[in-house]
Amino acid sequence: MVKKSEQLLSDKIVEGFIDHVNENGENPKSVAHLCKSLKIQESDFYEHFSDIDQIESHIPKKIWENALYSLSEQEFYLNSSEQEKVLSVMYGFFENAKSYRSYLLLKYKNQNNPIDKIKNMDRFRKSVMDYFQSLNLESALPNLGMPMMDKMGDKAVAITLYSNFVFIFNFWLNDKSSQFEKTDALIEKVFTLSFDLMDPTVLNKVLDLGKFLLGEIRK
Amino acid sequence: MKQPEVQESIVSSKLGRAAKLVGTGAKIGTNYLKYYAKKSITGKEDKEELHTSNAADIYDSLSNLKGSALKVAQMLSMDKNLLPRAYTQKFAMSQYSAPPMSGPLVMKAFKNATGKYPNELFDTFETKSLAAASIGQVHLATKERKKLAVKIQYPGVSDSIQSDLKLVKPVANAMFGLSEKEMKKYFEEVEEKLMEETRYELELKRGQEIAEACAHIEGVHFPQYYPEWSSNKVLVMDYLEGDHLKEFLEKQPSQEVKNKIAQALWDFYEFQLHEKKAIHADPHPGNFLFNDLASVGVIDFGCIKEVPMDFYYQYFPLLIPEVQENLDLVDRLLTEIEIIFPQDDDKVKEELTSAFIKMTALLSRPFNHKDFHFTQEFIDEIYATGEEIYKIPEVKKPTQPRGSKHALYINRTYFGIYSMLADLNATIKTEAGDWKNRLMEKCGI
Repeated sequence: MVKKSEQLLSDKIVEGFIDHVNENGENPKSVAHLCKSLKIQESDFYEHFSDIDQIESHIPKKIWENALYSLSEQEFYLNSSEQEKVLSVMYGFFENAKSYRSYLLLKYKNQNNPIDKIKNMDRFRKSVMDYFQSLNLESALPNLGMPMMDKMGDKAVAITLYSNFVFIFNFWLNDKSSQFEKTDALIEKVFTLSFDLMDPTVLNKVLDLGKFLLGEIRK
Repeated sequence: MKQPEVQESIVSSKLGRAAKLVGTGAKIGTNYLKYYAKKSITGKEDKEELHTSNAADIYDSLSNLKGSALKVAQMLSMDKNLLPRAYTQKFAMSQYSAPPMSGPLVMKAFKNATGKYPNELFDTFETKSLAAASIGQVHLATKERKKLAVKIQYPGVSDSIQSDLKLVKPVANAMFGLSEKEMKKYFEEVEEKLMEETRYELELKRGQEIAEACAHIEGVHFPQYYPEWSSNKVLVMDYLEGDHLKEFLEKQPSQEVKNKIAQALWDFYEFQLHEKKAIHADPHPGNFLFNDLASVGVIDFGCIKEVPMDFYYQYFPLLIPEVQENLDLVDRLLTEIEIIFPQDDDKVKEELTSAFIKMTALLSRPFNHKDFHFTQEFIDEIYATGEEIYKIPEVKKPTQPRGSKHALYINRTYFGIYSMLADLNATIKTEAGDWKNRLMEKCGI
């Protein structure tokens, strides 16, 4: 029971934080300021977060985890291939993100850095990467067993998928189509293509080009 | 003229299509360059040669196109008999083609449109699609043992139609030798119809209306639609059993069955055109399902051409022999539908009038017979006449746009029906009904 009310309090803090940002266009000046508007004890705040920045890093991660959670109850998700799972999670994430769009626009649109370089995104990045690495991608990519890929490991694949995701996130921030259907179309195209490209025979050629270019630059 | 090369691959990406069109543009440009070079050397204009080489390049390019760009080209060329028969037939069969949606995208698109996942609404739902529809794909579902067809629209399809149209415009203008401004009315008509197809709620309403209005016609049947599960991008209807024309004919049904079905199709279109003044204007073979009970199921009411009354009274009297013989009346009607213009010189006027009447007399032949046998020879004759008319300079290189935009879809529809009736080799009752007397009365004969 205690656990549940704590969960509710952390949600309350997050919601209060988002409301504040949406209304004022900036973060609360201090933890004390946020706690006062939420009518909670500052000491209770530290049960959940160490500072304001941590709430900020918590939000995209929470959207991601909620998407995973709601899919984990869907039969079609559980029965689908790894590649289809990736697509479902992407659609699920942007579906959930709709509820936080104003906040996300304020925070991440028109930043000088791409979103994954922005501070406070490490925790989000880690969740997403963990998920991609947890997939049995070898079954999705039959040719992955080749020696080259063994060295690369699942991590390289996860990085590729993550960078696709970042690309789509940036697109979504600027998407003006109804129900963001252009983002949906982009997800479909980008991920289908990258699964096709992840065939090691193609990847080897890309790496070969990379090595060549790197060598030339070093000269 | 150079023969088009066999098509090896379909250029399907947008970038690919753009490249293809740019390629055509470049080729047309080169041909103009040759033309000017030749002109400067010989001092003689050889525009004929220019037109021929342009046409050949356009055919080459178009046969590599898919999507709505192709549909536009198809619409415009069919009307003008611009393209050789092989192409017209290919175009008649063409469908909007996109890579199939992945299972997750199907789920997402469905949920976006209806607020629920398909498995929350239906007892079963196949994530693998049954068929590609014009701008979406069809999935099989069941609910309480009833088989349903669920049509789901590709996300972002209306934008892709608009960008395809932008791509095809310059090419189409070059095809007809007309300026963008002169082509505008035709483009608007096609664009309007293509955009209407993306509005499934409109299709549902029209499907219900036509099914109700045509319920009395023997040998045609329609799916029931389910508005409670449908939305602007998802359309749920009964799954109709039956074969497409080609498969149906392969089963070698008796001529009696074929005639019965052909008669049903004929009656269906006669009723729509002359009573409802709105026709199912997409007589693509995929939209008709023939069954063993000699009945044809009609699906896909996305493309309905509503016939404006003034156009109806200007165009359809021309199908009546008594009208065709009355030269003053013909002159008036052809001016009204903008085939000829008052400022045309007499020679042009005469050429166009006789060509038009020749074509119309041919097309209206079924209406003026009690029974009519639709044969491949009849279709060949229509093509041959079309090709002959295309040789008239003012048709080939018009000095201004000719013909009403409303004729585009009506011609296409009748072209499609005649082709199907000929495939059925059908002999049916085709004599004009009451509408003939009504139209004659209206014209004062």
